[in-house]
Parts: sequence; C-alpha cells; structure tokens
Amino acid sequence: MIEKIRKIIVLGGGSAGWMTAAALGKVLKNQYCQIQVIESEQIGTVGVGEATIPQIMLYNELIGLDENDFMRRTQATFKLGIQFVDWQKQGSSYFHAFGDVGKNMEGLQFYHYWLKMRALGKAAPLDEYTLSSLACLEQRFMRSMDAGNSPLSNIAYAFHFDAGLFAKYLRELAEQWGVQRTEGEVVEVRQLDNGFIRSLRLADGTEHEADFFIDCSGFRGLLIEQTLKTGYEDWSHWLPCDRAIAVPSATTSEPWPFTRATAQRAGWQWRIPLQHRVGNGHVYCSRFMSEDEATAILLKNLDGEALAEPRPIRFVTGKRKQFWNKNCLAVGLAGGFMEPLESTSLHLVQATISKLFSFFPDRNFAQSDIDEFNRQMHFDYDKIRDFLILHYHATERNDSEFWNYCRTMAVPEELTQKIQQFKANGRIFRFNNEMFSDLSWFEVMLGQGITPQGYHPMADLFPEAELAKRLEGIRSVIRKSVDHMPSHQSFIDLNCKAGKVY
Amino acid sequence: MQQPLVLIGHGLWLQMATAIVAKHLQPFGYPCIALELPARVKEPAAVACGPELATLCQMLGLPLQLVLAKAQATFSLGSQYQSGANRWFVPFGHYGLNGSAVEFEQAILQLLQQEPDSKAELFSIAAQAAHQGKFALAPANRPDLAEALSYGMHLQTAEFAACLKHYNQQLGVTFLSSQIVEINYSVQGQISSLQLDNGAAIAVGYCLDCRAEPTADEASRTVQLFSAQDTTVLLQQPYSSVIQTSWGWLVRLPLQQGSHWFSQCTDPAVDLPQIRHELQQLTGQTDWQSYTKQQPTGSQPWQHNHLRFGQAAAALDCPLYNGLTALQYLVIRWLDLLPNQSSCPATALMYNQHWQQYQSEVQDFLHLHQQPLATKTGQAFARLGRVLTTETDAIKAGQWFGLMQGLGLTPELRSMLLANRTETEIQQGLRQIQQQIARLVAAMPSQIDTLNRCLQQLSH
Repeated sequence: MIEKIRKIIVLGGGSAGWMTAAALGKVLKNQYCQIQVIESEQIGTVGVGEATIPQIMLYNELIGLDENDFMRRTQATFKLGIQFVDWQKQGSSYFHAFGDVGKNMEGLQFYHYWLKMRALGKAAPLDEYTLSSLACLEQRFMRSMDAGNSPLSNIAYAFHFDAGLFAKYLRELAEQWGVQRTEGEVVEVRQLDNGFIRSLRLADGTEHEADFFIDCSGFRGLLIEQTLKTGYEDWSHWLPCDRAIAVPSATTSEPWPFTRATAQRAGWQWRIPLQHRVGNGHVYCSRFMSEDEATAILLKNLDGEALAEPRPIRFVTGKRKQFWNKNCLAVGLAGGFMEPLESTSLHLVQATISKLFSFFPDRNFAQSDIDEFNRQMHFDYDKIRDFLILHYHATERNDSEFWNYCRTMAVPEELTQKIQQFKANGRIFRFNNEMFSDLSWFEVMLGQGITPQGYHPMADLFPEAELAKRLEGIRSVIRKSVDHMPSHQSFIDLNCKAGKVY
Repeated sequence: MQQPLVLIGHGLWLQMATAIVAKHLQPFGYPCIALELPARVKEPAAVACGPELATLCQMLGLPLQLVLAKAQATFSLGSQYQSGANRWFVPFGHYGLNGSAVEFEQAILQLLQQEPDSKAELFSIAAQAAHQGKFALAPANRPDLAEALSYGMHLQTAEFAACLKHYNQQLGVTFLSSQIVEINYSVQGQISSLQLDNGAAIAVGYCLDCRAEPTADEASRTVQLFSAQDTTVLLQQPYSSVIQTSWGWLVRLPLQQGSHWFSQCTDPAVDLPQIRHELQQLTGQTDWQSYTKQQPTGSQPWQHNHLRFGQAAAALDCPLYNGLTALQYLVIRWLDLLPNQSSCPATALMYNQHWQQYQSEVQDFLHLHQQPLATKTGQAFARLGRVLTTETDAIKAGQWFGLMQGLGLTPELRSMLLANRTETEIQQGLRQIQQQIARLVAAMPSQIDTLNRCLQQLSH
C-alpha cells in the first residue's frame, strides 16, 4: 500500500538547497506534499559552483527558467569551456572545450585521423578544428542558430554565475511555487526508534516534522553524517587539495567565455568572469603549502584589484558512503566534494535531483530503490573522480613536491587502464552513462601530454591527400563560423545585460 | 604485411564474424583466413536478428533485398508474447513517436492504471503495424520513425551463412577446412600458429574463435533444445511469437516459406515426454527434434591474441536471445578497439569488463522472463515503473519496457514529474499520439507488399 510522502524538509539554503527546493516546488507544485526549506542566515554558504557545464540546461529546462532573465539576475556570463594553463608543464595551455571537436567521417572519429595527420606534421592544432576553443580565444559567443550542417547549429555552452545570486533567484521562484522558507538554526535532530529522522528542532524552540529530509547543509552533513553516521569515503590520496582561498576581483576586460584553471605550485587557481566582477580562487594542498603562501599567490595572480578579503574554505575530497540513508538524502556538498576543477559540483546536485524524481519514494522507503539510487550516484561520482585525477596525475611537472606526489601517486585501476589504452592506441573506452564524453577524455589526455603511439587503423583507409583536404575543409568552416559569431560582451549586452551592482 | 587474422568455427557465426572483420580490415593489409571446422552441434534452422542486422548489412554493403531473397527472410518489428490468456507485444522500437519524450512511458503506465482494459501497445507504432501485418522501411526524411520502427529479421541459418560465405569469398578471404585444429602457443601465452589435420601450420596475428562449444576445462551447463518445422506460411506476421510454457518459453520464427519453432529447457530433471506432449498441444506439430548441448556459462573473451567470441556469445544464446547478436557486438566492439601497433593488456581488460556488463544486462533480461520480481530490474519497475539505466545497448529500451509491463508488473508509485499534469491532460496527449500512430499505420503497406517490392527490385 502506498503511503504518500506528506512533507519534505530541505535543510540548507545554498545553491544545492534552493536548486532542490525549486525543482520540487516546480514539479510538485506544493499540491502533492508540503515542501519546506530551513536555512539560517547565520550560517554562510560556500558558494562553489559558480561555473557550470552544459548539462545545467537540463535543470533549467526542468524548472522552465527564462535564460536571459536568469543571466541578468545572477550577473552571469556564458561559458564555452575551460582553459588549463601550466598543467602539463609550465608554459603549456589547452582547452577542454564543450561540444564537437572536428567532424567524424564514415565511422571514424575525427581525433583518429587528426592524430594520424598530426604525426605526419600535416595537421593544425586541435583548437583550429574546434568552434568553442576558437571562440574562447577570440572572446566570441552566440547561441545555436538554425544553420543546417554548420557547427553554428550546435553550440554547447554553460554559464558562470554568482552562486549567491543564483540561490536568491531560485528562492524567489521556489517561494512562488509554494515552497515555504523557515529561518532558523537546527539545534537538535530527533529520530524515530528505527533511526529515521523524525523532526528538526530549531534555536527558537519550534519543531519541524517531515517524512523525508534532504540534507543540503554542506560539508558538515548535519543530517546524513552528524545524525545518521553514514560515513565518508576519503579520496584525498587521489585528489589531495584540501583548501581553497576565494576572492572576487575587479573586471579589467570584456568577459572571457571560459573558465581559466592555472596550475600553481601546490594546486591551481580559478578565474571565473562574471558581469560585475571576476571570481577567483586558489585550490591547494595544505600538506605542501601554507595558507599565507596560497593567499599571496592568489592575490599576486589576479587580473584586477581584489574586491574583498580572501575567504578560506576547507574540504576533504570524497563522497558519502551512502547518498541516501533511511529517510535522508544528501545533496551537494553534504553528499561529497571533488573540487571545482571541471565545474561538476552543480552538475552533481542536478544529477541527484533528477534521480530523486526517478526514485521518488513513499513513506515505506523501499530499500531496493534506495540501493539502486546509491549505486547510480556512486557510478557518477567515481567516473567524475577519475576524470579529475587525470588532470593531476598525467603531468610532466616536477617543480614541486606536490606535483611529484601527484605524478607518481597510484591512481584507480580503471583510470590506469584508460591511460594505458590511450597511450597505446589513441582509444578511449567508456560506458553509456559516463558523464564525460570520449571527446572530453581526448582533449584532456592530449592536453596533459599523453601522446598516443597509434590511431585507429581505419584512418589508413583514406589517402593522406583526402584527409588533408578534409582537415582543411573543417578548419575553414570553423574559421568562417567563428567569424560569424559576435563578441561575448556584445551578445550579453544585446540579450541579457545585468544591472550594475553598487 | 600484417600477420593474418584467422577466424575459426563453422556455419553462420563463422561467416558473419569473417564478413565483418574482412570488410573492415582487409583494406589495411590484414589477410583474413577462415578455417572451417566440423560442427559438433547442429545449428538451428532459423535465426532471429535484431535491428543491428540492418545496420550491419549497410556497413557491409550487403543489399537488404539480397539477404531477403537468399535467406528466405521476413521482417520483425518485435515479439508477440503470450502467457495464458495474456497477450502483449514487445517492440524493438520505442513507444510513442518521439524517442526522447520525457516520461512518455510513465504516462502510459498511469493510463493503464486508470483504464485497465487499455494496452501499452496502442502507443507503439511497431506493435500496431505488426498486428495489422504491415511493414515499411521508414523514409529517409523521418529518422524519428526509423527508431520507432526499428526492425530485425528472421532468416534461414544455412542459406544466410551461404550468402555470407559467397560475400566473404568475393572479398578475398582464404577458406581452409580441417577436421581438427591444434593451437600452438608462444612462451608469452600468445597463439603463434594453428596446426591443421593435414599437418599444415598457419601463422596467427589474431585468432577469432567463433566456436560455440565450451572446452573441457571451462564451466558449462547442459541444455535441452527442441525444434520443429512448420509449413504454415505467416507472411502477415512481421514479428516473432513467444509463448509461455510450463518449463520456459516457446518461440516461433516465421520465414517466407513456413516457420520454425524453438524451445529450450535448462532443468536437468525435465520430463521429456511431458514436454513433447505440451509442445504438440501448443503447436499442433508432432515432428519435434530434440538434442542436448553444453552451453558455456561465461568467459573472458579477449585473452592475448585469442578472441573467444563464439563461447562468449554462446553463453547467452537461447531462443529468446540469439547469440549471433552477441557475436556481432563482440566483433564490432573489438574492431573499434583494435590496436594498430602494439598489444595493450589494458584494452583487453576493459573490453572484457565491458563484455561482463553486456552479458549481465542480457541475463537480466532473460531472468525477467522466468522470475520478474527476483531481478533488480523487475523490482525497480514494479516499484517505480522505470527501466534501470543500462551501460550497453544489449537490450533496447522499448524491449525492457514492453516486456515488463506485459509481464504484468504494475508500478506502485506514480511519476512525480507528471504530478503537475492532470489526468485529462495526460489522456488527451496519449490519445493524440495514438491517433497519429493509427494514421501512420493505415498508410503503411503490408509486409507481403514490402517483401514483394524488395524482391522485385533485386530481380531488376
């Protein structure tokens, strides 16, 4: 017999909390069950996830977001990829661009024949065959247009936005959709005899009961960990960075349509351009660098003047042993954290929400459903983890203890196999549901300096002259397409310019 | 000059693997040798292939019309299941007219709960066409319909094998035959050569072993197979028939001239006379052939340069899932990963891991037929009405959904993503799709007309 969920409490009002609440509010319209967000203004939010990946569109679609309005309200800019600077070695740079790279031909992926022609010295750099990379370099942007087979018909993009404003924007929407917000700090979590969470008591003495609790309380995991003792799988031996220093800086140029990740001596520094400022941060490993040194490096490498005091953030990379335990689901940082290198934090929030709808429970909380939910979440986290480790491990850098550690550390077996396979034959093996495509793996492996010894033998089927002609054709089409794109700034000005922030 | 690729085995599996490999690799200078060995177990007279066959024919440059003519083939839009009085259709294609329509299957399940007399197949163009004996290839400008009308084929095994052998000979494949073959290994464990019964030795680059029989040192189980030929012509049935029996399932594959029945039993304590009696009652056929075979129960297909594709595929082969489909997948996936300069153990390891996933998904599908609620997939469907995500394309989404809803699994919980749609909205949306499907099916030709047209094209 179905015992309908009567009330859901979302604990925490950062990006994860309001993304969850807005999605629940939009879909359930407060008619199916009551939805309450409990958040405290006394507890700050981490505000990670200012940069996103194209999968964010699925979430935006789910809640019916007006993209231009969202851009204006969150001071957002567009993002076509990530530029990795100094990762392979100092002085190196490459793009992990969204969308297509080149064009496949008759069952043969582009990168195989590009690898062949590159080995012969007859191919231009990869960026020249990639619309997003070239547009990044030239600070151009537009949305897809109806242009037949042109690459302009299929422009994959994401956003950079102010996470605080994003949460505020979603809060407004969620409240319009019937989500109830309660201000207060949780002082006690009450459980039933079977360990399920019964209610939350707030500092003002009020008690709030629900059938289902969504823990968006951040790293501390007030419900999933502090109450339910779910356990945490620590990945710091693979992803050793455990601190970040964040600081906004003044804008000094038109916004770049990409995130820049610059490797530093014991970590890396992000630069995320927004309309009103630039978000910066230095992610580092405290075993190899002090906070003072990390702060000094960050401030020294800002493009513009710092607009606030640098803010330290501590974390332990890893994931909860169960994302869903009894009647509690951990979303966002409460579920795990893998650092913002590939902007996957908000994607994982959205993936959790999407799976929640697929596995939406009743009050019986069938364990088999929960187990399958957790299995799928572990799959997502593990695959993303391996992709992130690749950036640290596949490097030639030997200029610091940190990079020596990363370069020589043992990595998960599956990643070792992937790297070996790519080295040997230029092949990338992936499962259907892995988030990062073979193109992403290709761009990063190549960018990190892994040079395949071979390519698919099918590339030899085509005469060199034909391949050369084909490559030139693609390069020319990409060039013309990028020429057609307006500047990123003018596209924003025309469509979604935000108001000034004083 | 590359070391030769040697394919060993017999019958259709050998010819199919040879055709795929030779077509792809001969142009790169890989000589292909097909070594025909005697069959230890007779191949079934007919096979049912899924939608991958049409793609494969296209890849090989093998005209569909030729396959239809040579192998006495018919089209298949899926399977018509029967369990007692319950009948339902499991299509290859997706339900509805838009494969990416969010929560479409959930809407169907919701309707079925409100209207128990309604049927999911009303929203499957494949099922509707199949029931009316219709079949058409989707026009090139309707890729959406191509997916919804995904089709497989029923073929005569020996004739299709002969057709492929001819194709392989034209490609320049060298055919050898031997009563036995002895495998010689290098100290590194690689196959260095194959020794034939006449004493000749063939050097081996890769050995693609298409033999289905397990070797003595490998785990296997005994399977009892039953088959019968039926002279009834069923050209108005562009589908397979699948009937539940007391020991499992009985499958009928219609060909252009007659049809074939197959069943299999894995219970060692089986009462053979009782099965024969039931088979006669169900089919009216008296001339049932039965034989036993040893079926491998799993393998790591890529070991050094020995690719044991036959055994891996045979582990899944049964009337409900043709091993040829698995074999094709194994070969194509291998070609996709084929190293060109060096052997890479990591590649083989990942290939084998991926194969375990494929195997597990097919086995899950087969277990659903026996005890739906004993599988995780069945349990999840019975709770949530959702098909769990799959890591391979072994079984199509429409097949999972069609089978489980047909087996009577009714979800306990409703879709939350449909919670903000009224029942009327959902019903109206579904009825519109149903009407569109009905209009499209009404305009489709019969399978007989389509077959005739294809065969005429060939004769011209």
